[in-house]
Amino acid sequence: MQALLLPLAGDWYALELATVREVVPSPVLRRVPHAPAAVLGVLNLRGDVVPVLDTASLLGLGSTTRIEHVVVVDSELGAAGLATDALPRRSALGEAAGPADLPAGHGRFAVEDGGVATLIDIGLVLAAFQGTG
Amino acid sequence: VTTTGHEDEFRRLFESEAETRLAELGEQALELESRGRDPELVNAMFRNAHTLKGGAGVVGLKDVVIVVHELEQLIEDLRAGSRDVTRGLADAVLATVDALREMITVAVEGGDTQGAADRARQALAGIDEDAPPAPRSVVPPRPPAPVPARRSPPAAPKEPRRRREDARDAIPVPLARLDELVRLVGEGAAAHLRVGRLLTERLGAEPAAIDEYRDLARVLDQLHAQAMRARMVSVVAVAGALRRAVRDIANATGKEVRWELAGEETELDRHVLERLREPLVALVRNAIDHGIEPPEERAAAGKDPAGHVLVHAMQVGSEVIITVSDDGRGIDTGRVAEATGQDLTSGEALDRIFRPGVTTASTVTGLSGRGVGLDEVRQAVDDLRGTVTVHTVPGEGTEFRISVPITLAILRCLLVDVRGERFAIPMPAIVALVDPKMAGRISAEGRPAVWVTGDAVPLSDLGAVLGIPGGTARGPVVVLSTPSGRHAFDVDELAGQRDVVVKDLGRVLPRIGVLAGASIEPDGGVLLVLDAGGLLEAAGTTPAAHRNGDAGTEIDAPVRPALPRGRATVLVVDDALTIRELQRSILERAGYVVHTAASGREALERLGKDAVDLIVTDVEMPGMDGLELARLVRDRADISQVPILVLTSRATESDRQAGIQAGADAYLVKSAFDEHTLLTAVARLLEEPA
Repeated sequence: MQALLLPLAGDWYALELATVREVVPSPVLRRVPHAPAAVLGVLNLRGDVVPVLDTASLLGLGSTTRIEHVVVVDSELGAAGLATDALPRRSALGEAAGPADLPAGHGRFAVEDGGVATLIDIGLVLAAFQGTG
Repeated sequence: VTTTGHEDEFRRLFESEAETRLAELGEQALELESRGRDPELVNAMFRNAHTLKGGAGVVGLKDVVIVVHELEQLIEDLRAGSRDVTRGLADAVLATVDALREMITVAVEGGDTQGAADRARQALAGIDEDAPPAPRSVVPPRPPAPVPARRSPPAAPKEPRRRREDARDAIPVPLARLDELVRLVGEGAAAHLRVGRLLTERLGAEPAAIDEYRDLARVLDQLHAQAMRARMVSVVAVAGALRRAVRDIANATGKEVRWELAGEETELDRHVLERLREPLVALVRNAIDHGIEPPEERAAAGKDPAGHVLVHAMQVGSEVIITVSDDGRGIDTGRVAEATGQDLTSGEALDRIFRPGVTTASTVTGLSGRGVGLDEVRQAVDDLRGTVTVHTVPGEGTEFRISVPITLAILRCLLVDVRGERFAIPMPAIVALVDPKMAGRISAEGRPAVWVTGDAVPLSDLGAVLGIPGGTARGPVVVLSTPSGRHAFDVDELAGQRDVVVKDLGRVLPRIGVLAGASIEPDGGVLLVLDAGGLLEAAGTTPAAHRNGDAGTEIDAPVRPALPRGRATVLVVDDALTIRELQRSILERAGYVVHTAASGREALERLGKDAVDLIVTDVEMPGMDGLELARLVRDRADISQVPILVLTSRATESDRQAGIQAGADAYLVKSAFDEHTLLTAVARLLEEPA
């Protein structure tokens, strides 16, 4: 499966490539008052207002400290931006490498440079976000 | 895009076309009752049915084709003269139209249409039971003699259909495509501004001095106006539903009703009108069910046995006002108060009828299970950022007045800066901008407040309410009004007014009460639009949101012009109660003494009795129109010097000339009319007497 690898705190998290709309480098975010803590702000994606979420916080991995890129994904609820702290890259997912610990994870897979990435289900991530929001 | 996607789109187009055809068929069925078997009418019905059948066939809705075919047969029988028009027949056509509407909606969604199809067949089969002439199965078909030869023959519906399309010159377009068009126009405008900045930065040129740049700006403005206009529909689109409601409820209650729709050419955003459909139907039903008395009671009271129900739509500035009035018994406010078990003034009682669960004989919120209640009417209008009010005179009638913005997509906003962030506040919610130095900060019940026109209005710091870190604002105070009350907010700076294209924030974020939506700024940033109701709620739950600042700055953008020095007397002449009362409230709030007259004749009587400093008159009035009034005023020595401001829906240069010749001093066009324009014109005329 083709995936977009999203770097967070030195580890890779994989998103199914078909769900990714685009990657926005050095985004300008507008803070949203009264929004849940995991909402970093909103950005203008060619005229659409897209919320940007703290990916680390959504996955239960602390909070995103630097926002270098935003990966915009399409979900059933509409577009959502996921913040990352380094440059995402495209890769095919290789051999399965065991189950994931994350509730929204769909297992670990080997990736091209010899590392491992955890495949995450964006639907589950957003559902969990809405449950807490 | 897959093939399924195309099919889907065709079905949606068919659905929208069918909506028009079915609405016309419904209208025509009602007309059958008054026009009988008028060949022109019957042919028009046949064309509608035939087109509908063809369309349903193309998109593969076989069940719909079968039902429409039966309906077509019935119309064919009417045309051939083998069937007469009866109320039962009209009812059956209406029931079939309703069933078809449901079938098409369900079928487009891919659901089961069997239930609705059965209802349609039952309705069509049921006519024969009460139709006086023998059904077609018994009488052999007669030659189509009653149809005059000048009309098209039944076998050739194609030609007239095409002519009809041309006459309308319209095609159904999915709303999403229009929204996309509006969005792209907005993008174009933003790109235009960026080009302007580039010209300045890279070439040191002043864009405003470049003709081509200005031309482009003008074209983009026009494009934007046209794109917005394409989303508009006229009030005619709900006429059929209202007429149906009048007929059904009048029949059900045994009342006689004269029904009138005025200003049906008034246009507003399709979204807005669609969401007003049910509330308007509810108000019309309410008027007949609870307002209009039975014929004998009316006769006994010296009234016309037939009650009068008027729905009047008009554009006033960026708002559309729709009134539903009746000449019935009025609302018994005493009984409303009784039903609530509280001691209420009549004003409070009238307000209560919009709340759920208040039921008396004269106002029923649940409307006996038919449609929506008055509480839902208010909710629907609130959702559209509008207002609904009611005026009633015992024994004389009731008027409900709905006022809504023409479109929800564009909102006039005040821009404010708070702790370094910019927000937009919708202008309709703003009642005043106060210079705190002049108004004076006070404390009431342990919370800061500010004097606003004689009331101590609670005051909060907007930055604190929004949870933005930073110091307390020391700038002007913005006073907001919502149905739940007034509240003042400190901001740092006012940054001007602007028309804002509001988008919602999508479904990924949970609903955020203090935000109404967002908009894209010309520089590509995101502008957040605040929600007045949500702000009040948040301010109410943010204790110590404010620490008293000691001084404010001068306000350089007042919402209202300054009060006039003297208390001049203005006579407002307009046959429309709504317009009259609207002008009265604007002028009285600005400190004028206001008299009103409903006709030119009444105005002249009034002018004989009271000293008047200015006349504001409508042109189009029954009897003596505004121009004639102006002429008569100029001819009467005692009042010939009184300035006259003419307010009209006509806007051509020749109308203007006619007004000036008749003696008017100034001319205001109703569609461009707003509070500021009216007050400016009035103040100018009073300072420079003719």
